[in-house]
Amino acid sequence: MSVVAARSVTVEARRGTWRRVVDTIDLELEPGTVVGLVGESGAGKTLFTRALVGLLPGGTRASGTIVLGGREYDARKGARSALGRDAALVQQNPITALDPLARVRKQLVDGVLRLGLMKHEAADARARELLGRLGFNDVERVLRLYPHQLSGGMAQRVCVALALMPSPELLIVDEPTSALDANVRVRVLELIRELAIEQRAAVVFVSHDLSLVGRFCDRLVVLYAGRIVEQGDTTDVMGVPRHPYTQALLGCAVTTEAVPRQPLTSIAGAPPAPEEWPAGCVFAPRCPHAWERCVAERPQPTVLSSSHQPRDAACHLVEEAGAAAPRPQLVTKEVERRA
Amino acid sequence: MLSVTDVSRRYPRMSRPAVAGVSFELDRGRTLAIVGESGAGKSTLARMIVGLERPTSGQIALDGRDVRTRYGTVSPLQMVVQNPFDGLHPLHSIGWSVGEPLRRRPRRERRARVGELLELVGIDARRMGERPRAFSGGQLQRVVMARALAADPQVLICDEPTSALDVSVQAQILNLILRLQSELQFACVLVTHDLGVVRVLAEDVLVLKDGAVVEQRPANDLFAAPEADYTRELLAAERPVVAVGES
Amino acid sequence: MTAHAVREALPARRARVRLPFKGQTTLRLGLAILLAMMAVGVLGRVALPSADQQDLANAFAAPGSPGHLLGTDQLGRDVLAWISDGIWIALAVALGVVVISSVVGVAVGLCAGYFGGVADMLLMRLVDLSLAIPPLILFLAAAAVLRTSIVTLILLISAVSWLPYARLVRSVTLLERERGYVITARLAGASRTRILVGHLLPSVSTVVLVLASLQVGYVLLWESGLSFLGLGVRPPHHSLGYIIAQGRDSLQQAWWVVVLPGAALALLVLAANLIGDGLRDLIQQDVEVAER
Repeated sequence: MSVVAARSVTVEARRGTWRRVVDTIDLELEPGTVVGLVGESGAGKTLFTRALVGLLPGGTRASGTIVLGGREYDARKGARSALGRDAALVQQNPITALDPLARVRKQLVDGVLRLGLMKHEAADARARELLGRLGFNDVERVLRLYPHQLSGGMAQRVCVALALMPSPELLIVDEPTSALDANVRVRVLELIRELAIEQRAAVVFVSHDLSLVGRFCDRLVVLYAGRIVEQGDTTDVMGVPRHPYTQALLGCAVTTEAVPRQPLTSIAGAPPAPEEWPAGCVFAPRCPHAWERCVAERPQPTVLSSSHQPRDAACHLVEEAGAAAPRPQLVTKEVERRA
Repeated sequence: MLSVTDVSRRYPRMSRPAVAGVSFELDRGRTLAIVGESGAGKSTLARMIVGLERPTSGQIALDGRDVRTRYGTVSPLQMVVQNPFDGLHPLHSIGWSVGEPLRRRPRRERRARVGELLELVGIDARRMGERPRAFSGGQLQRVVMARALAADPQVLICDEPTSALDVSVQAQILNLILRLQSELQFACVLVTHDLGVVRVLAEDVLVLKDGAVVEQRPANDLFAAPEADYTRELLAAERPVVAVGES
Repeated sequence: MTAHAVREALPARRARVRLPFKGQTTLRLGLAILLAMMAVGVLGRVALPSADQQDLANAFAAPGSPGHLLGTDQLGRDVLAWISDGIWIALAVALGVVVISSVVGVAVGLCAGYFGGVADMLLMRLVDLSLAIPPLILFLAAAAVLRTSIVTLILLISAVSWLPYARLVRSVTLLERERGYVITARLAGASRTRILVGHLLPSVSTVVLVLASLQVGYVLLWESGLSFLGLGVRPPHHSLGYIIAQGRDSLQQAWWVVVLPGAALALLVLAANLIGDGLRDLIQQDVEVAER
């Protein structure tokens, strides 16, 4: 399997004038790994993934290059033709992603048959195999069901099977479990990870849920206001976050370890809309460590380790400190500013 | 004090009751969390508590009086819904929405009070003429709270108040709820599936599964030593994030 | 090519009349046509002789004849004058019908949707009934009994036109009444009226607006159609349908008596439909912006 990469992918949206909503993202994905794309709403994670597969909504356009399946695609159209072959997408709401009028078996098999990727028996066998691996006990029965007869967890697993039918090199899962209950969520993600690794697919896991991302991803890419602020090995990034935004995000996660009835740390304010992106560092207005340089100059990623996996953070503070990791500052309790 | 006594709700053509035999009491200033997954009956229970639906059996009373929403009467029980964009009318200004419980008052007084309430929840009062779409999810959830508070509620029912919000904003809203509750001393019924939120806000917890109460204890006890298998399952599924610390 | 690119590619032209709704081609086109037609109507009122004025010496004058830009009919009546009056009649009837039918339809739809029960059942049976009876039969029956004036015509057409509003508003209401803001409004002490008028009515207003603008086309055709059959507007008022009927027999020799009023009617209906489509697009975009 070859490399999967996004090179200088930029997405613009038209609100009056064209504005950047995703700003020059470079991403290299290794087969058999899961990369978590983390960010809050408006950070651009969904638009970025849609740009990769050429499914951008109206009023948006992309530029850059996508490398997939040994070919290069211009981001203006994205790897649209690769959908269903080399690239696949699993979306948030499984029930709406499935055709309500077709049985599971037909839906699973249709795509690969129509694209001429497999013969009938092979497709059938693969569908059965995937469903089996996804934890269905009575595969025969499930194949005959209609989507409305499936529970949320079952439907999402069927969607995953659907995505994996053509053995894609790139699998994008976009908040695949927000519509599911907590315990089913874990199971589905475990299965996605297992299968993806086995099939040697490169998985991009888009989520705003840090705990999930931490459990299921090998690498993390933290997105804020359309750009990558930090990326690296998951344990690295979550254990020793270098960028103030990552630190703040981890610091304010609401978990069962919280102190009861005590205020949580939070990040004051909200992410800026594309019209309001500041000239310098995009996080500066909310950053407790910001200084003049941050307001004036946009930070470039500072490489933090020399291993083959990129580990960098785009922050002036980090740049000054260099690769040596100082003790990360815990974000102090923010006085809540007015909206 | 809110007292819920052996409340059940059965819908016709359903094999099992949506809610079966729930009882609890809640004093002012305290928070009870109702935890469960989708389909467990949480929302049905929330609707009954607030008075929108009548239980098929059992009683819900506030200070001894039966709870029932009536047209034209401001309810002492108010609700904060999950999706702030759903909870506010998209075509009216936020000032209009927040001022709804205050319809009886003269216009000037109402405006002033709306301004006060918005400031109280951290929204610039000068923005009261703007429509919901001009605000972010977190800001709107504050507006929703301001509107609930305009009614001077004795009980606030929060139905998944932070599930639709970003991580960094969730913390803000939870802090807001804590602060407001300590100032205004309303009772709070928190309906959620998120155990982290429960940990921060609740003093008592009630776990619902398929309409029935599986466990009901003070939060500290429940988190330290859960009794029911189901509770243990729920807790296990939410292993916390790796905390920021030394490498 | 996107509209944006096309606009940029064309040489800039100075338009003397500025239309609102920048970028909404359909809507602007519809408005432009409507305004042009209304201008013709005004012109007729102001500059032309009355359409009643008969001039038998000049019967069947061709378009372009002196004093008769669009020719005359068999009685020497000026076609352009008739058209300009006809435009006003058509628009007046359309406006009257749309206002009455939308008000009635929305009110019934809101109540049926929100309260359900008996009101809802009655409405649904009424809808079934209306689907079973062709409106034309109704009009024929009414014409036999009533003296048709513009007002009765408006009422008659409204009587069959309010049902689509009621149905549409009912279904939207069924959805909206489950929304969070309705629940919280009840808790905030809103009365039933307040919920219907203050909350639900604004929410249905956009779809009603679109329906109304699309209905205008139908009403225009109904008015002309009935007038054509002699069941609608008759002299002393001048309807487009009426003159078309008048000119029917002499189509061979004086085509302009039928074709020109017909073209005017077609343009009106086209304008109405374009405006309706344009409004719908505008609202759809508005919705898309709001749903981030």
